[in-house]
Amino acid sequence: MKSLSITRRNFIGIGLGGALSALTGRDAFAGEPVVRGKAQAKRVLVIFEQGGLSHIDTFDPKPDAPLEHRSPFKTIKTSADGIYFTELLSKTAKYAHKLTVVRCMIQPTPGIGNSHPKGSQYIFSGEAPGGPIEMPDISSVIASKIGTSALYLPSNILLPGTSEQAYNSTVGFLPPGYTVFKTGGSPADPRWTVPNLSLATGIDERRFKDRRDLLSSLNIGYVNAGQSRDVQAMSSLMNQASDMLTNPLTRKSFDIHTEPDGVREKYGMGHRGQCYLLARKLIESGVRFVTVDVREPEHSFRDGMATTFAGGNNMNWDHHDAIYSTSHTNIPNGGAGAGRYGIGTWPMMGSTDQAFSALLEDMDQRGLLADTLVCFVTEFGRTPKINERQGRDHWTNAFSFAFAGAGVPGGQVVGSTDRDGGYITSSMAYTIEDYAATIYEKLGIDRSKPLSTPSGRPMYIAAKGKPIPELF
Amino acid sequence: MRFCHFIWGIVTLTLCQGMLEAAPVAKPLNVSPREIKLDSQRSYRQLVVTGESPQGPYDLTRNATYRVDNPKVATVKDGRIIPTGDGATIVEVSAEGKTAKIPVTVANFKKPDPVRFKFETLATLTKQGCATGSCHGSPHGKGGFSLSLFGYDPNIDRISLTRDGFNRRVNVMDPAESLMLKKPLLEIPHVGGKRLRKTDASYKILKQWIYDGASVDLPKVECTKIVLTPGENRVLQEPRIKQQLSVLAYYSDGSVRDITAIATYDTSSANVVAVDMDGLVTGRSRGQAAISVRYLDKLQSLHFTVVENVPGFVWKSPAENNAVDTLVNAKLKQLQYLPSETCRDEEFLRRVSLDLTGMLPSPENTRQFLQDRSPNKRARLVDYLLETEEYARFQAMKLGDLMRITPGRLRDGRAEGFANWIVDSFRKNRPYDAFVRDILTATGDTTETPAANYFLAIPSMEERTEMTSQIFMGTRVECAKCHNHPFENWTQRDYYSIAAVFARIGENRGEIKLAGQGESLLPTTKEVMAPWGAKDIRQPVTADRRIGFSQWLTNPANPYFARVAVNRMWAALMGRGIVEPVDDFRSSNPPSNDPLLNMLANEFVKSGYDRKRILRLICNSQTYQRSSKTNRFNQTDDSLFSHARVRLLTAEQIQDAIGVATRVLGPPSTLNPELERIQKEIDARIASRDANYAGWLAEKEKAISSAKPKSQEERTKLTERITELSNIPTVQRSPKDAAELHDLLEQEVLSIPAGKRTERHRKTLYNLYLNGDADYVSLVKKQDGLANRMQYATQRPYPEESRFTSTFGQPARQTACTCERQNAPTLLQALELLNGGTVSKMTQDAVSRYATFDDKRMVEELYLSGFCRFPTSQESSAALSYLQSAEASVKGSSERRIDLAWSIINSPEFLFQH
Repeated sequence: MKSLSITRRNFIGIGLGGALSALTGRDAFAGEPVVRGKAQAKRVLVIFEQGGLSHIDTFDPKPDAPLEHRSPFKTIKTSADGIYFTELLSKTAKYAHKLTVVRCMIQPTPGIGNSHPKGSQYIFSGEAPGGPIEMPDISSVIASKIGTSALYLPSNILLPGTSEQAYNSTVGFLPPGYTVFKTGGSPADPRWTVPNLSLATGIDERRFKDRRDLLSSLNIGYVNAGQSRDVQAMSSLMNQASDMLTNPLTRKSFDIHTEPDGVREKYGMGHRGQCYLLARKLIESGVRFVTVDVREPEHSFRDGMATTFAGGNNMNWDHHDAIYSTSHTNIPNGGAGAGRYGIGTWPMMGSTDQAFSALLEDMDQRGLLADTLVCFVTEFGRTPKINERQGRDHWTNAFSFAFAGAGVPGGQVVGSTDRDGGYITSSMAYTIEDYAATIYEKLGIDRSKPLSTPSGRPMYIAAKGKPIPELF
Repeated sequence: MRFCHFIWGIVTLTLCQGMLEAAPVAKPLNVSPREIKLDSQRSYRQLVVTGESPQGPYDLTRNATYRVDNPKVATVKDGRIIPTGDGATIVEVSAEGKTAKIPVTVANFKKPDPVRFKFETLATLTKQGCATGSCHGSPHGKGGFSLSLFGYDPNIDRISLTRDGFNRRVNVMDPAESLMLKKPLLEIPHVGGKRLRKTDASYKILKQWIYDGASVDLPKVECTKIVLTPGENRVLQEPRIKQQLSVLAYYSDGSVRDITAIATYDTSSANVVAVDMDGLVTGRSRGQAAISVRYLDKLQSLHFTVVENVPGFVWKSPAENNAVDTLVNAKLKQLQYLPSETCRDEEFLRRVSLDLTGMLPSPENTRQFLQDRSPNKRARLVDYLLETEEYARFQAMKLGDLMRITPGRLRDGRAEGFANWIVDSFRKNRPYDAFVRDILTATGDTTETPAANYFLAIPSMEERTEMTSQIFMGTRVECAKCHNHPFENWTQRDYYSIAAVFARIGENRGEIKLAGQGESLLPTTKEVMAPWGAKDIRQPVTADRRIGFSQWLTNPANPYFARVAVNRMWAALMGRGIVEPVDDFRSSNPPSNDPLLNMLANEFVKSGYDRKRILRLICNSQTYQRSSKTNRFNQTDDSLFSHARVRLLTAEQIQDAIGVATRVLGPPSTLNPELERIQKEIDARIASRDANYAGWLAEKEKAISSAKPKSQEERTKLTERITELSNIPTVQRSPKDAAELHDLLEQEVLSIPAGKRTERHRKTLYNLYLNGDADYVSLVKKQDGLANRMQYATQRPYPEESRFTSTFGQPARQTACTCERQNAPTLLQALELLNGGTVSKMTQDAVSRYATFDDKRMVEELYLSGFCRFPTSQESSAALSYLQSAEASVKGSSERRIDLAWSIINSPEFLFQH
């Protein structure tokens, strides 16, 4: 009989999963290599425009809808033959030949994801909320499966992340080391630094080193320290964290000021544009999975100066009221749609169109689209009918996603909706589970190998989804 | 027949010889069963042959020789009796010089015996792995073929097998062409790989079932139980490392069958014991594991201990303080682990203070304890800590995690009320059974009956079922909500029967009451379930079903209640439960030391469910007081408690420990004088305000009488707005909302004519007046904060949910699972410690807090408060030379002091409990 040894499994079992994967950059969860086939993507950039972006005002124009419900924004040609957007995407339209727009997205079970918290969780995890065990974020699953190649940076980053949806992004049953890293703040703020990833004020590198030296000279009293695996794990994490804090590359990856002014201006010198730009920088630095969940704050920055969008205290895409307002949406007897700005304004589609088009151009020029999957997503679309408050409500029966890079064909539209944009008319319709399966498939992750909960229940990733074939 | 006589002759002779030599009488060989009746061609019976040694029984089934009188009636293979024709015979079993004769009769050998779908086909599909959660038993099936998990719903399976898949799964005309055989044989591609060989017993059963016509009839008969032989736990030790199992199934029609060949076997740890398809268990390496045997919805487990001789191991009898040590040491000795030395006083002080109170002791207390020379000082320390307010609050905080106490869920002071009620139960050491009954049968207004908040925090019947089972029975029944529990005997019926207990609890405006109606229905049949613990479903509708349940739960004979409670206490002190995870009690997850768990549970029951008694028993044991330093004979031990377990402090412990080390947090003992002082200030403030009340009121009355009276519509709107604002939890209410609420309430009361105001109205008005005074409000706030110890993370009634505490794994109190608290080190924690705002702020504050100490004294105090020990001379000089170095000229002395505090906090000795 062989004696008891520390097997890989029980080593992981004590909670070192995060540490190990962060250190080795390899899968520490499933116990064997999970990458299969020919992975087309090495990295994923998800732009999550939260709140339910109106598809009929953007990627799925409906010029023949009844006049009283029709979008006021003109339908325009794009760089791809036969593909039309609305004029709110006039800059993005120049890069339509790089995009596949999927117009047949649907939430198949009405109600499950038809609220912002649940809908956001749906997008983050790729699985309908409310199952017996909630699934972790897609990005956490990926961190657990294939880790990262940039060791001085977290492997999955959410930027900046809003407090409203803080609980909808979750590491779930996975070890906490795979939790997404949220930057917070606004890179458009000239004083912005990432909390904890650059040395605190007043602590320069020399003083930090002094402290570490002092620490190691005081450590001599504790004789048992080296024997515990948790102590060893913490000390190697401390080393890694110290590297992150002092490695110039970490700061450089987050330092928006290293970008030429021309590039920064192309993205737009506001909150959204600089967030998109930061996402590109992080992808370029080798971060595996970056999610942009951006919402223009009421008190924001533009061109490095403080600016205020009066009345816009909640500027996501939840346009229940006055969707076509040219300023804020706070109307008398208004409902749940207060605090936004009209969809055509700068803090909404204006900045989005500029930032997204700049991102596509920039990533293309840098060759990043070759192996980065870019996904532009939202929880659901908005009603084809305009309500009595001149707004549009939640609509889960049809909405649009856009994809680029990592082998996604350019100049393609997948699926179609009826004259009003209310229901899918194409033979195919795709779900958020299909979107998740697409990401896993693009990265070459084998979905037939389940994750396991702490109590040993096998959990399949994107179990109900199939990769969207037109994206391959 | 002559042959038979010949054998008899030998046996007689042997017996005679034995008697002549006056040696102990050789007992006949122990064979189970003693007699066998087989009644069909496909029936069989597994024998189990057992030898006896001073160390206990051991298995001889595969070592024995078998001889059958009449091979035309039966044959024997690996101890299994297989019929060959009708008749009677004797099987003679011999091993180690002993024999036994087993009469065997076979009947109905030629009578058809079709394979039974429900009892054989489905069991076989489970055995081959087809119906597991990772294959076709998953909720969506696999490859379009879906089975119910472990065959829990034969109706799903019959349709799946015979109707779906264009009838190709089962081909009655040509059984061998059936997909359900060809795929697992890998004759055609199968994603699940090769699952079946033609030589398997399972193949024969499946093929025979198809050949017999693939009948999917579901008879009314049920399997009532399965019985294992051997029936008790076994020790496997070289060279006797095997054990044959035999399994019988009992059915509701009175029949009994040997199902050894179709039962499913699993091991809880394949490193320790392995088990094959025929129920043969083999010891692999030192340790303990459970073998669980599944047949349809029935599951039984046997626990095996595998003993290995460790070269050089010599047991040295260590000191024993009490019964805990006796039982722990017995297990260590058996498995050949050598316990660690006793820990030093400073280690004990730090460890036990953190465990019982959550906090580090003050440097004064540490000095005192280290200087104390009395022999029983450790026991006295335990007694002292158990009487502190910190003990009560820290223990209540951990229970509050499981009961989901948050101000978001329990509004307007209810969270504090419920938490303080729990604190009080620890303070008064209320018997645990009574405490739990108080909770589970609570009704009433939750602001007045704090215990009823348990039900307010968990609104649905299903959640109440799952959380109650998990907290008090250590059982995760949630699996059984949708299907029978995969690793335990909990069925869907059980789940909905426990749910029925909570089916008639209603809630209205924060009041928990008996609803008088409501049922729990079994989802598959819509059958109305009788509540768990009730003998008769026909209770009056007014009856409180929870009473029967809580009596069942807290009965001394309950198999879960006391064991789960003492195991939680053990885990809190030792860093690992005797059963681990602590809320996953099941026969397939055995305790690492069963006698120990039983002893603690018995003590708990005998003492009248006295929690402090159990904590004291554990803390006073040598086992608790062992060093975390391992020796070469226990470094691989992870579950038998041969050494202390090094673990990261919890989120709350770290935050408070930093507070204590930087002197930002004063010892809680200083709170009372402070509270008294504030009370005096408040009293004075009220007295001075009282003088002006009449004037204020008159002015308000005047204003309201001159204003236009409110219309009905306006008044309705006012009430609606008040309700809306009141519904925002106090802690989340913005200052603007709070001011508006204050104003509206004032309007509402004042609009009632003075003559019509009740005492309550007058009180409200007076309170509104007082609360209009900013000084008064800030004093009351301060008093509340101090009284509720809001500054102390380990002592607060509900979590702060700061970034720091969430980073260190403080649960958001979303579930009843202790696993919600994550204690594994993460990168974000490292960043938070090295560079985070909390550490930065507290270390800066340390400068002023340590201002009166000189450098040498500061070093000493930092060590005493952070580590509960004095610095070594080496450490002292290293620290002093840093504080006083002239070379680091960029930094002033304050900066150097901050750096020193930072280093203490970032050291493993500080961050870990050891």
